[in-house]
Formats: sequence, C-alpha cells, structure tokens
Amino acid sequence: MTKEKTNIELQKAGRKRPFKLPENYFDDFAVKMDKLITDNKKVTNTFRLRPWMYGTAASLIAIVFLGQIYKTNYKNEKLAMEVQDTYILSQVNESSIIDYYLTAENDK
Amino acid sequence: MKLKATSNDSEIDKSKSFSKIVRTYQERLYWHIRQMVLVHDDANDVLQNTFLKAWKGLDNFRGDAKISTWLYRIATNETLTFLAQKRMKHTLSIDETEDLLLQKMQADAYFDGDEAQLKLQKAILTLPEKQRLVFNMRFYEEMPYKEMSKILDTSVGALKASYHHASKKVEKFLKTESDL
Repeated sequence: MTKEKTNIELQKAGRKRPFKLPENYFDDFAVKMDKLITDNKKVTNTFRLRPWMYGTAASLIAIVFLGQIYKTNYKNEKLAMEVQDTYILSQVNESSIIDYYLTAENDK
Repeated sequence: MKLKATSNDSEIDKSKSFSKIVRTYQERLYWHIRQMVLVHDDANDVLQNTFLKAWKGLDNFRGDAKISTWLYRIATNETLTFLAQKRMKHTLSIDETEDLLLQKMQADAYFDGDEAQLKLQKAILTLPEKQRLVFNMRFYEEMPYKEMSKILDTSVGALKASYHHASKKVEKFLKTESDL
C-alpha cells in the first residue's frame, strides 16, 4: 500500500523535467560552437611550430654549443701554460734567476 | 554514429564532421548536464566546455568506442568537475552545495516546475552525487544499464543496485513530504 502511494507520488511528478530553455537555444548553440572551433583552430595555427623554426632552433643550439667548447678549450690552454711556467720556475733556484737577469742587463 | 578521425583528415572536413557531432548530440548532452547542475547558464557553460574538450581530443579518439559514449564520458567528467569547483569556490559542504543548487534552480528564469516536480528535485538532491547521476540517467534519460556501464565504467550489477537504493531514498523522501 505504502509502495503504491509513493509510486503515485513519483507518477505525479512524472519524468518531465521542470526546466525551460531560451528560444532557439540549440540552433544558436550549434552556431556558437562552430565559431568557437574556428577561433580555436586559428589560435592553434598561430602557435604551431613550422619546419623552418626547427632548423633555426637547431642552428642556435649548435652555435651556443660550439661557443662553449671553444671557450672551454681556451681556458684549458691558458691553464696548461700557467702550470708549465710554474713548473719551470720551480726547477730553477733563485740565484740562477738573479744571475740570468743580471747577465741580460749586462748584455744590453 | 561512429567517427574515426585520422591525421589525414583535412581541417575543413574535421570541422564539418565535428559540427555534425555537435548538432546530433547537443540536446542529449545538455539535458544530461542540466539535470545535474540544474541552472541553465551553468549547463550552457559545461556543455560548451564538453564540446571544446572533445574537439581538442578528437585526434586521440579511438574509433573502438561509440562516439556517444565518449561524449557522455567527457560531459560527466566536466559536470562533476564543475560541481567540485563550485564547492571549493564557496567552501561549502556537500549538503550546503545541494541547498545552494536548489535555491539557484528555483531562482532560475528557466525553471518551470510545479510543486510535485520541485519536491522530486529536492528528493533527488538528497542523493550522493554519483547516485544522483545514476538516478537521472535511468529515470529521466531512460538509458540502458549496458550503456551507462560503459560511460560510468561501473558494472551493470553495481548500477542496478545503485539505482534501486536511489529510488528507495527518493520514494521515502516523497512519502515523508506527502505525510506532512
């Protein structure tokens, strides 16, 4: 009996949705979506990477990379020369250096 | 309707196909969303986001699923995300969100229900979100359980049980209200 009563209640409310829509809503919505998709496509196209961009990016990376290699080589070369000078000086005693400079002065 | 988008499709063909998809499914998806968010403007926003997401993901759509299932899944996710964001924005509990939804629905210019329908909406709003989704899909959309199962990624048995519990709760709510 209770179930019958509640079924009546549900039936009274029915399956009809209690909602309305603006006039021509679905027609207008479809048109609006078409426009949105076109705009969306334009935005996507603006930001799309072109093949020439890949080439330019690769060239820039190569230039930076080669520059770094050159810079590192130059630094290493300079360091090696300094190390060599220090080594030579450490092998010669102080009096020999003084003699060398005095002789050089006398030769002028 | 099945659609298999390939990378060879020209952009114009793709737009035309998608335009057809919008026209075919907009109404069904709108009501699916509206029944959950209740207010027309919100349903309009969620429907728009649904189609935009579908458009962006069209290349990834695998033709092994029905396009309607795929769209319903997107619409359902967008709807649940919208409701969660609404809760977070207003820092509301689930009960408070339901009250807010009910108030907004009654204030909406596009609400057109009588007392019995309003009572039914109140009853449906007492259900947990997922159960409400199942109830609406079965009661209003009269969707077969098999299709619901694919959309919600839940077994048919679990959906039947969920709908049964939901109906009982709605019936109980309506009975209590009518006894008052």
